[in-house]
Amino acid sequence: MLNKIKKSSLLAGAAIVLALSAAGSAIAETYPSKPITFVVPWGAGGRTDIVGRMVSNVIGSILEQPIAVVNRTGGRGAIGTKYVLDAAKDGYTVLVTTPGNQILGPVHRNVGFVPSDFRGIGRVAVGSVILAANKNQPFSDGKSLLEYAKANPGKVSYSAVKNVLPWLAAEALAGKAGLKFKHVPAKGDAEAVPMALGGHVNLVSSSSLNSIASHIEAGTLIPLIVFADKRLAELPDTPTATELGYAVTASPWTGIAVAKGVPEDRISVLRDALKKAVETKSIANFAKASKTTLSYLDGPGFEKQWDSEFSTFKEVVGK
Amino acid sequence: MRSTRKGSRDILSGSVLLIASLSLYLLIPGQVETLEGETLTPASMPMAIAAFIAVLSAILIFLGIRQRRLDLQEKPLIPEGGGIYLGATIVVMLVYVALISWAGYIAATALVLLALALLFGNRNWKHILLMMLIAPPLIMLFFRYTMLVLLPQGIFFS
Amino acid sequence: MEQFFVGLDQILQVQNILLMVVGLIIGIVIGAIPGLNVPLAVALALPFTFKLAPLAGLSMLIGIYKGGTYGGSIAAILLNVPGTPAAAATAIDGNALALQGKAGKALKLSIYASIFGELASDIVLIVAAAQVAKIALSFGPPEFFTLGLFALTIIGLVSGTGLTRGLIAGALGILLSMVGIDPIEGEVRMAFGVYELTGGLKFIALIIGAFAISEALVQVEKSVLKKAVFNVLEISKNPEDNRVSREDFKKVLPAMLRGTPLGIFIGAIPGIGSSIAAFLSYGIARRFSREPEKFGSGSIEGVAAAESANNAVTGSTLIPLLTLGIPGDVITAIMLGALTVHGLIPGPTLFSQQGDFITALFIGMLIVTCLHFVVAMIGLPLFIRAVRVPRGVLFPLVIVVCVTGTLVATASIFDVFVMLGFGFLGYLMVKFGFPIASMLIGFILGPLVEVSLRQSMVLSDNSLDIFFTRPVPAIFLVLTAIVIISVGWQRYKEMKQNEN
Repeated sequence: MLNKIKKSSLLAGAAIVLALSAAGSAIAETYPSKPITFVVPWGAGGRTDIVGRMVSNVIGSILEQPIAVVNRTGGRGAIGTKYVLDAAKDGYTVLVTTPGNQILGPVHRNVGFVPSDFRGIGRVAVGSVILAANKNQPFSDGKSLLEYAKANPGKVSYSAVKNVLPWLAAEALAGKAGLKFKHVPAKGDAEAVPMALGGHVNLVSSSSLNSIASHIEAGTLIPLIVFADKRLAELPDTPTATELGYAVTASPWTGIAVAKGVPEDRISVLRDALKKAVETKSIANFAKASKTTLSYLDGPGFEKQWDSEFSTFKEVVGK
Repeated sequence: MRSTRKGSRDILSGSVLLIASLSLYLLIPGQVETLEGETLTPASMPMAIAAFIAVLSAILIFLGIRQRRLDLQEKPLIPEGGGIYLGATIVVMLVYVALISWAGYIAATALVLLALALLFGNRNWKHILLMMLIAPPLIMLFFRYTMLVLLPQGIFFS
Repeated sequence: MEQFFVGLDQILQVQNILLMVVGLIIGIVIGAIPGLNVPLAVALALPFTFKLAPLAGLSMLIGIYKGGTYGGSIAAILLNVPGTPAAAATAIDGNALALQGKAGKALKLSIYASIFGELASDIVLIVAAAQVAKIALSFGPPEFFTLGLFALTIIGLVSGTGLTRGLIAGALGILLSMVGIDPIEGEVRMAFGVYELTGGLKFIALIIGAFAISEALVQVEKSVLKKAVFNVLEISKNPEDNRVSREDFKKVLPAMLRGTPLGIFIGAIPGIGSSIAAFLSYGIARRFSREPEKFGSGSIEGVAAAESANNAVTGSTLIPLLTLGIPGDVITAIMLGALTVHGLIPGPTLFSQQGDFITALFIGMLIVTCLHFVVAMIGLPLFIRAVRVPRGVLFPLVIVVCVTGTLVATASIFDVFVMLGFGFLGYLMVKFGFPIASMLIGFILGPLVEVSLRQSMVLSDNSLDIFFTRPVPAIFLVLTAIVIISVGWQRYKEMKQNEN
């Protein structure tokens, strides 16, 4: 018995020493000298989470420090975003960010931060908002949808989460085209898509090609309009809203940011690491497999994008 | 707490719930930022539920009063003297959580294990000591190395 | 047939089988430890699966999922602390049986019922995924609303004599679920100026606090009674109490035969989940049982009903995931992520383009279920031994793991305090006779009912006709009415009887 105890306390002692030594090196000046935490303000398994995890993996190996990814959810991303802002500004807490948490949150309500409270490390990927229809509709493309909706105001219904990009895009299109859609609010994309598939609404405004790609291929959903600058490579026959005469674009990007106040040299370490990371083969392979559109933008450019989107969205929402 | 007359407990809990739900009913409209648009606003459901609880607690009070007439005794809520253990455990848990970020996971956990073991009537020092020494670093390292979750290290280690 | 062998060949590799076993063990252990639960285990295993082949990664995740859904019942039976929400219904009768010394019987029954439900669910997934997916799609807002309403009536079925208190607990659950961002408009409500509350009260905080911490508080006051210091549970020496006899099996079979299809149905409809399936099955079993009075005080039918239903969810929940790309819960959302990383985009085309993968996966599901039985049976004596650990060691550790588990899952000290708050609330509820299970049901169904009601009103331009002109909502409304009337009638009879 005594032997056993000795052994286990020895083990415990060894464990403590191990923990101590791991922590002790944190005092050193070089950055990063201890594991970095990436905060994802959205749920595990989602698009932001997946991109965040893949990028963190590569950045971790570039910086030679493990990166812990935590999902700190709630308040449509506001809780995790605010957490990064309130954490120690030492560069060890990094935000995986999207317009939903960083731009639209502050546009819509007082979340305790504005986009410019953060510094851009860089944009990684952009998605595309697509308006797609259930297959049994009296319209078959973007043009006929707009004509039909004009002739039957309030008849065409669409599902989307309220106050996020797909909703904004659909409402902006309706506003510019002078017509009215009936918006059926959904809890999330996972609820919005089946509503259109089951024919409970006519259209779905989807925040990613990924969640509807298989249905488009199978013919159960028909892509009508893409809210992007140019047509998507995957959907060469689907016109952009701009082509139809209404310049509405929405790009649900995913990127990396830190709180303002993090030392400049640490920001540039992270920026360099991200720039290297997006050029690696493993990120390219991941993007190809998961149908993610890589679209790297450097830190300063990313910050500019926040500013312009923040003011644009404010105008659209009218606040 | 000593034994009570049957029904008193329902009257007590009913009254607390009645007051709470009624005040909530009045507070909710002020807690929702905007109330425009649809027929059913974000405040409708919470208010309906609060009203529902108020009605049910009134029923509970009424049933409690009826039962009191039967003059039956109920077993005490907490075994005689158990309240101290209960109160102490709650305080220990709250202090523990507050302590985690400051003192770090290992130190806080070792301390709380000691306090809780004593509260749960454990006087076997060998067990307690082993638990204090092994469990905290084990849990921390488990999360650190298998799952890459960093628990707070606290002032003693960083 | 050729595809079958290709699939068999793909799945039958040492690595895959090993990962299934590892997944099952992780799932069962994490499910059984109060304070840790399946979504946490699956989320933490996610990065690991990135490095594996898709089939291997998914095999492991399914192992964790299935093992965890069952594992929750172990702590539910032995400690009255459901390790997962799905096991909350199992705790009611399972723990009552354990307190009578029949822990062995309850645990074995839980394994048999789980495997029974799981196997049936796997088969439905394999044979009829496409057809079932059509049913799932036919569920729109009015269908969800009426289904949610019907499911809420189980509060009446599970709360027994304290109907008023049961209803209050259910309503309280609904109210608590509404704190934070309103899912429809995105408005903050009931945050009372507390920033962290705008994130809502987390489900995991409720589960861990209201069930595990409250039980620890109930236990600690017994410390004053010196005799209760040591063992948590006495295990009967009588072999009859530690096995499931043929008579037992005959008795529980009808409950399992009702619970399994119910669980399969609930699993196929996204967004409801295994705990509701378990409670519905439990409530229905009680309604149809020859000995309804035994429910709540150690009915083997209650355990079998709950366990068969909650594990029957595990197979069918993959139907909307694989055929439509729609995750029904947190766990399948993570599986979706794991598939996406590997370029397998779930949806109708997955079946036509990745037939081999699907075949292999389906065979894998069946293998996991068989392995699940083996692993669970081997693990059983170990868990029973774990209860021999003195209370003064077990409960301090349980509390520490609850706090750690919440901290790891939410990454937020505030949420840990919320968890402790739920613990105290749960303790008060136990003391004042309010069923915690009803609060859980309300908390899960509240958002479903509210969101679908408001969506229905938008769709119908505020006309209630939408619930009566469609067949499915009408059926659920009739069922709801039947349950309410029958519960009310029973209550009325009881009150009459008491007065005489």
